[in-house]
Amino acid sequence: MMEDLSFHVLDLAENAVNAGATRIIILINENAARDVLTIRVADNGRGIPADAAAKAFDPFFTTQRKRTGLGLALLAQAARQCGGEVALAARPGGGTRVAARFGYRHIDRQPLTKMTETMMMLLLGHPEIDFHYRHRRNGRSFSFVSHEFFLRSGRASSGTAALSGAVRRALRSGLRRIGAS
Amino acid sequence: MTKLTIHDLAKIRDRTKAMTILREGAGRAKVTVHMGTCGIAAGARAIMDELLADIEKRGLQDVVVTTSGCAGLCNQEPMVTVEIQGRPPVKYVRVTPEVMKTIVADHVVGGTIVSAHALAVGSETMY
Repeated sequence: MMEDLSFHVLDLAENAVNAGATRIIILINENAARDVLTIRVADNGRGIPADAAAKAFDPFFTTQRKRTGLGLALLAQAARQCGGEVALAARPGGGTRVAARFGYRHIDRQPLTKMTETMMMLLLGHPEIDFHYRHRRNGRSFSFVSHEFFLRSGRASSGTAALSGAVRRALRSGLRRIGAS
Repeated sequence: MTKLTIHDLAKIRDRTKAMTILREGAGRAKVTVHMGTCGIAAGARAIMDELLADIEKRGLQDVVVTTSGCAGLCNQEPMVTVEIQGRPPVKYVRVTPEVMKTIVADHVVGGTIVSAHALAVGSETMY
């Protein structure tokens, strides 16, 4: 069990990285009025062959050289326990899309939390990938496109510390503006 | 095909600069945080966050931070690999944010391996 839902965002995005994606779209929508929270991650990586897609939620199925593939199985469990579900759409060679829906006010829904830390990790861990992150929260919205940001901040930054600080400040202030963290 | 203008080239340069900083930097040191599902579940994000916060606090401009997938030692996660230029990489296991802080101070800045938490010296292999 992951501690919070933002860990699943991280895990899905890392899957996309491992699928050779050059662009990863992360959409989060928190809608208290409709009692729904959705997490959608779409990438342009190599996709999943049909036979593997059928087994993608099996915790003991993985395409990598290891014994378990827990990521999607844990996500499905987290969604089901609060009345939600997970949909996987993948075409071999055509990218992968994962959409997870959670009951917003359900007592067993884990908190989202720590999106700043999650996005920091992705953006700084994989700067060559263009991340499009959009977070909507009860009508307010925050967007962050990593290559646009790097275009602006690259000019001014002298190194890792400066760039890391600039990304952290941008995410913190943007998420605070919509009431998220 | 449209012609590249000077403005386009400047854009490419700026974006490439940011990526070069993060990918190669001045390249004195490289820190890899292992980020498979196992690493994530074991707390790799908190380790990465501590690492970046320390880098910002100390103003380290020449450290490359990157992530990698599962290395096959899931029970030893969170794992971190530190490479100082010209020296073999050192793999640390069961890293906590406190240990990460020590690794930055002693190894990344000071050049001394934190032997209490080091698993092995050498390159990564998968079974």
